[in-house]
Amino acid sequence: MSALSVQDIGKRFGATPVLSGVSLDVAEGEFMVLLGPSGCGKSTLLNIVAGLEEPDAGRIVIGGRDVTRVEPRDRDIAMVFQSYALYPTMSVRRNMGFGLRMRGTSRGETEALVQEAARLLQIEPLLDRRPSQLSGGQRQRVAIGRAIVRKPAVFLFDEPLSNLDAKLRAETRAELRDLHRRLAATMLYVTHDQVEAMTLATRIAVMNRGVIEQVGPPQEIYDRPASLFVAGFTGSPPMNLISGEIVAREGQAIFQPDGGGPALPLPEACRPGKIILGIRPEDVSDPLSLPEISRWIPHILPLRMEATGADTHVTFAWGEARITGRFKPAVTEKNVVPVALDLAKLSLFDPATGLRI
Amino acid sequence: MRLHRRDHWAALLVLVPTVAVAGLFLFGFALWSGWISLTSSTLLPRYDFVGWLQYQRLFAMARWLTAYRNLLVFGVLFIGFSLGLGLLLAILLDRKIRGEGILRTIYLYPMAVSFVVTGTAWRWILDPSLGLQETARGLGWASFSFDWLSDPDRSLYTLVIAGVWQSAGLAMALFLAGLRGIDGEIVKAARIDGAPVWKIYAFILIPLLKPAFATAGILLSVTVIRSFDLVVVLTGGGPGFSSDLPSRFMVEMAFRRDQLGLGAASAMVILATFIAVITPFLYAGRQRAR
Amino acid sequence: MKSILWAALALFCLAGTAGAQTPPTAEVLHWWTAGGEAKALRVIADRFQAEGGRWIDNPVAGGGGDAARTVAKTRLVGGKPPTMMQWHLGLSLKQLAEEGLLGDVDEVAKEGGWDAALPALIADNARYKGHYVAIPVGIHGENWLWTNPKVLADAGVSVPKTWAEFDAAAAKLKAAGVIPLALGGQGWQQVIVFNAVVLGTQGPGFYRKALVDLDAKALGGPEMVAVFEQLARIKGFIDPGATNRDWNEATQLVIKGRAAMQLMGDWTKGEFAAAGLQPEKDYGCDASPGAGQAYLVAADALAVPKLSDPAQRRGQLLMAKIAMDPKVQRDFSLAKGSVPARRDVPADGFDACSLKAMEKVRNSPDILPALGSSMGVGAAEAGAITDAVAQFFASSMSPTQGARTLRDAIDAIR
Repeated sequence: MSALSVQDIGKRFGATPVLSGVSLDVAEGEFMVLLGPSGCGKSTLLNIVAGLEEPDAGRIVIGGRDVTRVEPRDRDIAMVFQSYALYPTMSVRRNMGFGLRMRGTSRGETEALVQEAARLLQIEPLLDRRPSQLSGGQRQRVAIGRAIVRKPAVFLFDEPLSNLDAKLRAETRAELRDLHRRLAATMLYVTHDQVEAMTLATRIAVMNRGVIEQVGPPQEIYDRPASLFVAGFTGSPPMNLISGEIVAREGQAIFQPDGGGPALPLPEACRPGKIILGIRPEDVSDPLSLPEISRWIPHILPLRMEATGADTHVTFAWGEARITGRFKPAVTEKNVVPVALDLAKLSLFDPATGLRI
Repeated sequence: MRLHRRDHWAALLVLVPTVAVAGLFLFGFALWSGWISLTSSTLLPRYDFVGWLQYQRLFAMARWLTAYRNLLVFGVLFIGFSLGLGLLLAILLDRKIRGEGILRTIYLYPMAVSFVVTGTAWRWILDPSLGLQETARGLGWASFSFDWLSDPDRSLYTLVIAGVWQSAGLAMALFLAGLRGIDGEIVKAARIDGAPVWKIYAFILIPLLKPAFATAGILLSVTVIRSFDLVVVLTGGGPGFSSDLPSRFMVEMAFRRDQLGLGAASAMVILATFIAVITPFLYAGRQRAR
Repeated sequence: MKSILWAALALFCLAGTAGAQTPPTAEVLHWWTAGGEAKALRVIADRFQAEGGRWIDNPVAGGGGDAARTVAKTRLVGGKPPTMMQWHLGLSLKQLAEEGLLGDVDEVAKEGGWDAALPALIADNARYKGHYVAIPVGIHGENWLWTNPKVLADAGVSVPKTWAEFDAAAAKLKAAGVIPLALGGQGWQQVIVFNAVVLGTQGPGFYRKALVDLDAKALGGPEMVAVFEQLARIKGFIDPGATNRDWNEATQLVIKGRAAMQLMGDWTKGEFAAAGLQPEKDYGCDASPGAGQAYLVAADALAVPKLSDPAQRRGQLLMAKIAMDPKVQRDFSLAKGSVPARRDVPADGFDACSLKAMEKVRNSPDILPALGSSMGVGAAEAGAITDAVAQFFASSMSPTQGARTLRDAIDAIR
């Protein structure tokens, strides 16, 4: 039985559909990340799970119980917000204990639970301060503390790290992962940041325009994107997408990019026709760094180079397409040729549907 | 950041006229009134020092004691009901009910009307032989009685009714702006924390309206002090002087009864009272950042 | 405010060009701004200009003269007085004179024989230490009983000549379903009733003792209790809607026949006239019950500030001559609804009510100051009496308590 089940949820704002037929199962103890660009409907979905908004269609099931028409307070959930949403007039202690007190937990028990959560998050010295006296990172911890103190069945996170600076974000990410492991809790986490998604998730659901395009473990999302959108949204720089045509030549499928250029022999048989070929930048590199068995060395020339420090991105012209490869930082104009592609890592997409073939 | 020395002087120079005008017209004349209140001035100012004589006379006058007590009763009820009703209306509008725009305009509309108009309208509404009472009786409710306007023990409350009618919209607008300025996620957090709507308002949102309370409180206090015109047109301070207020008393004494010293003394007492009332509000306003 | 500035500017220019050729100049500060009042002042202004004077009009409206008086006081004290200013005869005028702020127009007064032409009360109050410091232009009377003859006739009563008759008539009117006495529940209106009762029940002698001399024995005596007993009866003859009703709203009740009578000053005539009614035909104007020929009056006047500019000084003298001219006095009073201060003005053109008033002003031995006129007692004392009377009307205190409240109020102010 899944801890949280989103079943065929639909939602419109006026005439605009925001979510259509969204279904998602989150297993017990799973860290599910909803990843997507802003406006894709992921926050609306989270609000519907929380009970803060009503769906027009579909059901929400938490712990086997249909909670679609149940008030937020009775859904056994806790939520951490982007703005932290701490109560400004209350001390940290009262902020964390508020939910318990509203549920009729005794003063003594509340205090004990707050202490326990504060110890876990190492915020005991802050308990008597007001939110306005805390730094951003401290507020974030208090917001998390307010969520875990109630020990809910499902934690919901709405872009909780986006108000932090880069360094603090990396630290907090690590702590969140750690916390997930220690609490063994079910979490549903909304973000537009693929790094957060990749590092935190046990599974990622990629959303676009109100639908889930792919659900899977981070590596699978990365390696085998289910659609052009997923391919383009993940990775930095994103996956190279080259349109072209598959032709059969001498019993082998050959990929011919639009506008000419070297034709690529496909390792597997394929139906001829228009196609989009995808390959990650790290699979376009120095021949020596790619497995010999699957590499293919076309004759294409570099257009420009971009050093990032850790590695250098080189863009080549392949027909009328541009393809970016990732090289060791020491690379120079002279030794980027020849370049190799790892044909074992190819993704093929149907240009009509945008789906993986 | 430190200002450049020259900028500093330029800033001072710009402020000088304002400070000078404010200093002369506010503090200068307040001090002059204070001085007059210690003299025996009658029709014209006379600069002889008579100590606290005018204050002694003032607090021996039944009319002043009534007016001063009325100020306190009226002030507390007027500010209390205006804030309460304003808050209630703001909360109702904040619940995103239909037709908010129209309702907000209707509630704010009385503010656009002067106290003279408000007072006159309410005098007709409350006039036992013309308004509510007569209408109700005309509709067949023969025993209906609402004659507060002609009841010396209740006429003061008619001022409260008319005043609240006029000013609750202002409080509402301030509170509504305050509520709209609060981060919506806080309300969501409270809902998930399991607080029922009234507790969300009571424990979380209303405490956050402290600056709005301070602003509304100050504005309403000012209204209380200068509600001269409302008294004049609604009750005329009557029946008798049962609903008199100090501002009317002051004008009456200083300008109609040729008792400048006595009038000045009453003005000083009004000023002192005002400062005493408004200080807590100012203090609350300064705390808003906390 | 603007007009003051202009006037000040005008004066400044005048001062620069002051010479033998400068015409007599008068900057007149007043609050005669409403219909009849403004027309009345025009009578003086036109004549002044016709005789070569230069008239600078400076009306200051607001607060029933409060604003104008405040401006006038400020300018007197500040040493920049207007040439003439509207003021009431009485104690506050004398106070200004006492402070040395007023000049006089004795030369014109002597030549014009003012002492003989004016009633004693008016002449006394226009003079300070024998000098005329103000020019009386008109007399208003306060103790009038205005009646709706049709309503009276329907109830089978006639205009009451005494307070006993009043009580009897009022009871009948009340039984007939009309409001016997239309009254506005404002202190100054209630005190008009009070004055009429003091005068009508206790006579002019007592009125003078109690409300002019503030004699302690009169104020605390049984006569005053009797006055309050009559007031208590009157309270039964007014309607509950009286609170803060304006005097002209009360008059409207009489005009429309909802009420039978009103006790109010002669300015009430304007309200009847505006409704197109004729005196002694459509409405009755009679002396208040029991008053007989006694008449409670207030006087309109122009005060004469002390100043040095010769053109303005000539203006003052010319103004004194014009304002006291019988023809001007007649036209002024016709426009304003008052009666002339002079006793020798021809009576032609005046209506029935004014003729009654002029008869009294000429011949009655009992021309007495109305309480609010400042010719009897000061504004402070009049205010204290007004408060006490208003308090009696608003509460359920007994006549004895009412009389005591009155005496205490006077004691507190002394």
